Amino acid sequence: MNTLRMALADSMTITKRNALKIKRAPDMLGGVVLLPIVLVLLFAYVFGSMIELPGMSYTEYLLPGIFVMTITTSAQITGYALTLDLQKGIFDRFRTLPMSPSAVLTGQTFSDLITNVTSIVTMALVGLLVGWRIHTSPLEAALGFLGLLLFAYAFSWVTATVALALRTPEVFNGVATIVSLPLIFLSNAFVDSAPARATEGDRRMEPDLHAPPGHARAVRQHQPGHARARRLAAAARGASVDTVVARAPGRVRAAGHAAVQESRQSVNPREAGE
Amino acid sequence: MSDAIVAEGLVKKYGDVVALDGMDLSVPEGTVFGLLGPNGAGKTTTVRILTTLLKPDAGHATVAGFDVVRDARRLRSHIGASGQYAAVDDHLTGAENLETVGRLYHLGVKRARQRARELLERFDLTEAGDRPVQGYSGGMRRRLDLAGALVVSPPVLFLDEPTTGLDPRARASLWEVISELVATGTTVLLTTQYMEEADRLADRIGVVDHGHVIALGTADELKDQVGGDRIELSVTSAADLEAVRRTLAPLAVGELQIDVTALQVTIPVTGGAAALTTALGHLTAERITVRDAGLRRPTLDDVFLTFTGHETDEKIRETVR
Repeated sequence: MNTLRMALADSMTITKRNALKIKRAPDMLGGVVLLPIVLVLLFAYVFGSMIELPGMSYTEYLLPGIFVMTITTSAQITGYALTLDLQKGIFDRFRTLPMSPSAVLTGQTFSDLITNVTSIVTMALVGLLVGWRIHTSPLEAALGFLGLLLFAYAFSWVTATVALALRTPEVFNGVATIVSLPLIFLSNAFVDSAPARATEGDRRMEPDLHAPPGHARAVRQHQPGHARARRLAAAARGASVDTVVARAPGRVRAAGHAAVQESRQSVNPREAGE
Repeated sequence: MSDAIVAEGLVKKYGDVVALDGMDLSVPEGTVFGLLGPNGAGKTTTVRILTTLLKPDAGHATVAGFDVVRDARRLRSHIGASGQYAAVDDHLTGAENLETVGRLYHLGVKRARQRARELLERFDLTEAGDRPVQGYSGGMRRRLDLAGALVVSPPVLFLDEPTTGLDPRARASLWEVISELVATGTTVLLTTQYMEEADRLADRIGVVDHGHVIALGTADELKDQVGGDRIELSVTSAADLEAVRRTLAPLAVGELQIDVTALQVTIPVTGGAAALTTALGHLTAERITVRDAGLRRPTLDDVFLTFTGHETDEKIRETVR
């Protein structure tokens, strides 16, 4: 078997193993379903009624931000699951097998796509209940959600990198919270975090000075991608993530960097250079 | 007969801590080698290097003819490893755990499934095979972990403390499984803290301390050097200790140990139960009251005392505490 085919086959084996784990212990999935429900309801009703925006409801402004925030949290499952396997010696067992070494990581991130899709679907449904609406064509909406899923996948690799550097579930959980919490508030998920740039009332809703005009702007505002772009910019500013990544072992570091870099560029090429 | 495992001058350091300090090993094909030593002696580090999990800082090793560093990838198809902690997935069933391993050895779906069933039957896990591992006992987990190491019937097998933490019954049943395995001609490197385990399973034993082998031989050879059985006596007052020493010194092979605080005397003897009877007879004749008396096999601590002149670090710590 050639290397690539072996890597794919092994990744699928690990994915299947993890999918079985989700099936047997749906409580882990329970968190992924409940958290979005709680967050969407909490923010939509607590802040949604207090903050007013010109031209649109705050709920509709907020929802994409909640989407990204929740997906950031659920992508941390990747790192957490890896630290659990590390601690139990399951990695050692795998590493003595003639398998592709990368399959443990790719398999884990693949199976976490299942949890991420679950999260996204739940959030969209609850969002629709509280008044969030899709204002674009189904194709554009689908692309928006696909972008969100890609971000989740990329962030899975970031948490995997951090997990491999930190090694124990307890430490990982602590660090993940410390790092992700400021990132969430630095982003414009809740409020526009770059008001200094906005000179006109109209601009207040448009944090990116280079943003395309007209209907594209509308797409960004009503699709999950909007907040995502800002989130990634915030991630770039949050040097802590990069510092941790820099200390991780070579191969994984490269993978983590590539994932972050790629998603930054694909989402918003201009902001990657910030 | 050629050697299935050869290690020469392995060195491994973790920061300032020297885990391996010139470890030499050679295990002929089809034999069982027991690496006997306390926690921290370097047993696990040795196994981790030989199973390609760690790279040595110096020295080199070959397993089944493959260099553990240069040919690591190819070597992995020829070894099986079972660790100190059962590396099995709680949420998966026994069968699923084994199937996953089989798939990762690239057996193919059908063969992996078939092999999982064979192994479950062999390890007496057929009934539990379709239940999640969560509900397994410690002994069942270890058996499953060991089965995982045997998925491709590897010619060389590494068992790192396979029975540590098990109750005596589970231990006995695991020993039986390992003995059967050995009879099929597999080369086994076994690490253990228990003299009894090494005695029962290993053809040759290497005693490890501070990262290298300090004594090597068959169980009998080592035990002869350690002095065979021990009589352990407790007396009621410290005043009797000296009398016991005087009375029993002629029976001892090697030095008597006297523990003044525990009021205990340990006498290395040959001749087993007969020696105990003789000793008690002498003590009765001298009118020394014995609170407790017994015969025991040499323990790891005895082996250590003999070969290193000090007790295992653990024992020393216990004593200090």
